[in-house]
Amino acid sequence: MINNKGEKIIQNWYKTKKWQQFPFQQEMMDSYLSGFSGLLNAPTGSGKTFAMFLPFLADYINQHPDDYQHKKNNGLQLLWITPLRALTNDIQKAMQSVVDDLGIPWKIGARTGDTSAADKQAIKRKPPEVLLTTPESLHLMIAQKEYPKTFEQLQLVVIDEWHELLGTKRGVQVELGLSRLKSLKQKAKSEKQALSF
Amino acid sequence: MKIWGISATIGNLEQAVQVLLGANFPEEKTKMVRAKIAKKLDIQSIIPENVEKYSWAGHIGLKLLPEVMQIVADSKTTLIFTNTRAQSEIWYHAILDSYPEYAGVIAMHHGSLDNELRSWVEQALHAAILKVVVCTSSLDLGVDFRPVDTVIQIGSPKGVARFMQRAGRSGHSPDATSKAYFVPTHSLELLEGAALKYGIKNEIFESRDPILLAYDVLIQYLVTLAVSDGFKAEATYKEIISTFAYADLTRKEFHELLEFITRGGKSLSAYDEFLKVEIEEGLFKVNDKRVAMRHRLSMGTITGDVNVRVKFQSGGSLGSVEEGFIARLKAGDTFWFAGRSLEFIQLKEMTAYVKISKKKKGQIASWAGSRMPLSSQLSAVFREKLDEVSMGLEEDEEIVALRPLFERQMQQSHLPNKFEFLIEKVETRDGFHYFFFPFEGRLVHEGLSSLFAYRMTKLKSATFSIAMNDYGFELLTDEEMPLELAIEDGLFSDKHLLDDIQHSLNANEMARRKFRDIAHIAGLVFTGYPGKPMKNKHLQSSTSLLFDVFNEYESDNLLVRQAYNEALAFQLEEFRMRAALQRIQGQKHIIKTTDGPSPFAFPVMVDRLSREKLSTETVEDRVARMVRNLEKD
Repeated sequence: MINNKGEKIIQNWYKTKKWQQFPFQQEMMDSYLSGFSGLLNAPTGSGKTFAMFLPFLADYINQHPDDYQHKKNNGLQLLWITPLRALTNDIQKAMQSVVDDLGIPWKIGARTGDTSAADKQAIKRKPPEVLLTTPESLHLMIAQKEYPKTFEQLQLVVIDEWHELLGTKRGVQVELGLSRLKSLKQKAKSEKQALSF
Repeated sequence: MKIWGISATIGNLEQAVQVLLGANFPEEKTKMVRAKIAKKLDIQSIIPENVEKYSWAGHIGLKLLPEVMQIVADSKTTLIFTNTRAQSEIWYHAILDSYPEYAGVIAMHHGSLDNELRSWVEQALHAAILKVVVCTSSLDLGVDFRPVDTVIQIGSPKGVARFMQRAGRSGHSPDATSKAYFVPTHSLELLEGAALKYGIKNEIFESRDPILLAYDVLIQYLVTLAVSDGFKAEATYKEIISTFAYADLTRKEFHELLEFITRGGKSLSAYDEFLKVEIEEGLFKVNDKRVAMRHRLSMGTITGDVNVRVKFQSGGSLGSVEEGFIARLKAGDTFWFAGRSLEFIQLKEMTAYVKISKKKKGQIASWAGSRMPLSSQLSAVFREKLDEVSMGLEEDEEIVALRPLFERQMQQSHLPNKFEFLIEKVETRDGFHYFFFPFEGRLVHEGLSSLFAYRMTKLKSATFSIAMNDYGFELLTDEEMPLELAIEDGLFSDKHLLDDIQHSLNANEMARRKFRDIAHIAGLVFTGYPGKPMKNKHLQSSTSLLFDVFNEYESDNLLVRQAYNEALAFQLEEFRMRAALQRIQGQKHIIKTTDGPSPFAFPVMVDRLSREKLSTETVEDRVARMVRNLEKD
């Protein structure tokens, strides 16, 4: 019996789409909501984007059960890294349609080499809740002044097509970027704890 | 904060999680979720009607065009995968030539085409407007194209995982069967079709080995941190060694890297353009705005040849080709690119201006670095399959079809089982040819061939010309060599391997080439401002100069060391080479003198011809003539 709101809403969404939920998508949901990190091993064309994105949304709904359909400007919640900027378009569209269906008032953002300077500034000023990007763009974000602010609210980082990046120097860039983000979060956490004493 | 990776199946999934999450991530917080979707996969090899008459050594596969087009006609939407961008151009051109009715429903997709063009192709695939798309690895990744129900692979995909990925691009509804066809480009490659099926059935997937201690990437990263808010040495060191890649980075190495970004290291301290980062009260920081801007512009790890945009004189961009290819063209020359015949007009500021040409013949734009070696997993299955043939146990239809070829091999030379190592000797008017067949993939053969040549010249001085493919390699020389003596003397030994490699393969030259990329990534050379890139020539000479300076005055320099390591590990796959030598030592060595190139040797010889000549056409003609001569026997 599901007793969290987020998961119920996602299940309903599957039903209205008349899509069958695969066992691994359920397993992914359980693992994510239990706080695990890890690896999703799934081939292209298996519904892996949804398998990853929907548990994240369920978690967000659980954090904000009463106002998830109204809350805006939450800061960057999800950073989604793909090896090819050409891949961002389709993922962006798929994600946008889900949040639209669920009445979550977000605009899914993307930051790649093709993004204009003005848009990059806008992302820095007011980050979208979900941002699709490449390993290079992540490093460019880290090369900006006061970048830690951008990542303050970050809940999840997804590395899509990790097998393509592993074994390349771009993969090493991802490792370094993740180590930076992890430290930022840890630092923020310990500062928060210090404040509460 | 949670971290999740998404990955297709590879040989080292467990390690992939470790690399992603880092050295210290608590195991009890880690999980692997596997989709375990048993996708129905139907793989078929296209078997040429007459294997013996089918090109022994082509590399384009066009002879099977009618069979391929029959499959296309019977399918809804087909993706035709080729291994190189040039091969895509050739196939696209050939289809339109012989099947003009496909105009409008055929398209091409590869990495050098303009973004807009590629997006259009992708949209048209989604919308089921296209019947067939000729493509390269550029369509390996990404979302599904639902209309695609058939995938055709031209030539060896070189690895099980890659073929699996490509095959999975067809048949997307959960209960649909993925249909994939393998089209060999020469007869012996048909055996790879059987090996691929076996590899997929038994889930023998290639591993992706993580890169360790890439100092160049780390230097770039440190400057990145210095450009934004600055960093403190100790905290950053701890953070860096929490990654898988730098878990073994010593404090001494880290200190050297800091020296490098602040004072240009030992050799470059006199040149202020290498002094990037300043230290203020323990904070490493870039204050110079110009340095910061240059750094932001040149970040990234993707290097490679400088590309030239291809544009119509009248406006409109088509994509890009390598500077080296354009440099060979004269005004008025015709070449094929983006599926069109183009006349080269002029090169101006890294843009090649062209107009549509009416000529039917022309060079095909070529790109370097597109020849993948056979993976070690697929090589191993290939040797197993060959062993089955030698025992008369073959069952796969591909191998059964190859029987005439194997019979000829047996008649002319020998068919080795897995306990045997075959060497063929043949004398032609070109000289004495020595063919070795380790079946280990092109990259390993590149190393082994130079090593063997070097070791033989220790007994008798000679000059060799070397050729290879994924199955074996050829050493050609003017005089007969004491082969048996060389074997006794340790030709296949793995002792002194590193030393012998250094001597045999201009290791210096290879490291120098690797250093070029490393210098880019580490920011030692500036590649130019957007729209005004520096010419490749200039970059090459400046990185070369730096390499010499380091080599001479600072041979323990970390970046130089990295260059040598990369040359050994990636370029030569030293590890696989050693394993191959150990295997060969334990095998029975069969030396056969033949009166002409055997079916195994022939494709290797063709490799030499295609290297000597630039235009593919003349090679095709020459091969055709060689085949005619063979068939006369």
